[in-house]
Amino acid sequence: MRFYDLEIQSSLGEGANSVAEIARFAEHLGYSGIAICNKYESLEQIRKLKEEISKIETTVEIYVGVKIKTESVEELRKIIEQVREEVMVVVVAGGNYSINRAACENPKVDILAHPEFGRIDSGLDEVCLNLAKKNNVAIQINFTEIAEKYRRGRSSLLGRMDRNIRLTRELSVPTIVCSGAKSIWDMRDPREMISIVNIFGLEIEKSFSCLSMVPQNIIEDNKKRLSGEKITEGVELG
Amino acid sequence: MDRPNHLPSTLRSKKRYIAFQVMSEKKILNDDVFNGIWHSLLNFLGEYGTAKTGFWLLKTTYIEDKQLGLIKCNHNYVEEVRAGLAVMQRIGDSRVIVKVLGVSGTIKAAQKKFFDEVDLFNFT
Repeated sequence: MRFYDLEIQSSLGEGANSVAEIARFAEHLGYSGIAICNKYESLEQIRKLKEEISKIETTVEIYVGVKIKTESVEELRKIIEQVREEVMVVVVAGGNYSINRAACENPKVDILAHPEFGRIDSGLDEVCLNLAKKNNVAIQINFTEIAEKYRRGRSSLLGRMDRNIRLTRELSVPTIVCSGAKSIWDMRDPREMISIVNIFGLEIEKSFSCLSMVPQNIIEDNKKRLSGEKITEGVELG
Repeated sequence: MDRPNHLPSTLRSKKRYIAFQVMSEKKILNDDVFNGIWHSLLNFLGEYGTAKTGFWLLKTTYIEDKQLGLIKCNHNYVEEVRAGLAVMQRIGDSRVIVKVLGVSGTIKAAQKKFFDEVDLFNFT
């Protein structure tokens, strides 16, 4: 089975390690592919990342991604338009309800990261989840967020994630697990990441798909879209 | 007769042995590893949750130089123990990753499969 971690930050962004170090470690842990998603600053930063990736020789597939962190819906839409044709994976950092909803509404977004971040509720409602299903936006479970919290904070975070996982399962919205690693020491073996989702009550097959099928579909879909093979949802060149 | 008799195998709870490796920035003392793992499990699963997993660290099987060890747990709670190990980030001031190498039904099989130990009974 092929496993993918679609959110890791490198030293070009807020991360501590270079892409080469991350790729070597991902290979050791047994990943087939990773996406480097640094916080968006400029198109120049994406170009530098592409250059760095092109120099690396590894068996792990490395994809260029971007994580968009903003508090304004207008700015979010503008950045998505700018970067969509440049990167393989578009991740939107959630937390703010209007951002969560705008991300779910936009078919150009691949992943909504930590929608419950900094909130006392889970950050998603039925409307958002139905939109996410329609637009094929995956709801992310961020591993680093769980690992970094402690006692009371972790307990309430797990409660909010549990609610989101229950809702995504009931409404058949794609769920994805990412490490959200800022250093190689935040990365985990794929099987350990699966066990985290499994204890939330997802069946083992569905837990596996959070780290294999769902990210693989995102990658394949975007490969077709970037190569011009897929024009829009349901319209492909023969 | 100061101890109860052994239960028949049909009444005993089924157990699994989880082989793990501690990957760390620098070498960590045995006791720190054991305390760290207990601490992480108790924090993540709670006292009651940890009790239900039947978690036990087999200190005598720990290989210090390779940082390899075995954990015994109930066969229904392997995923919970894996998750508890995964959320460990630090032991002392060293960053760590506890990597599960595999799960087995017996200590002997776990050591043979995951610790690369030579089978002393195989003379061929």
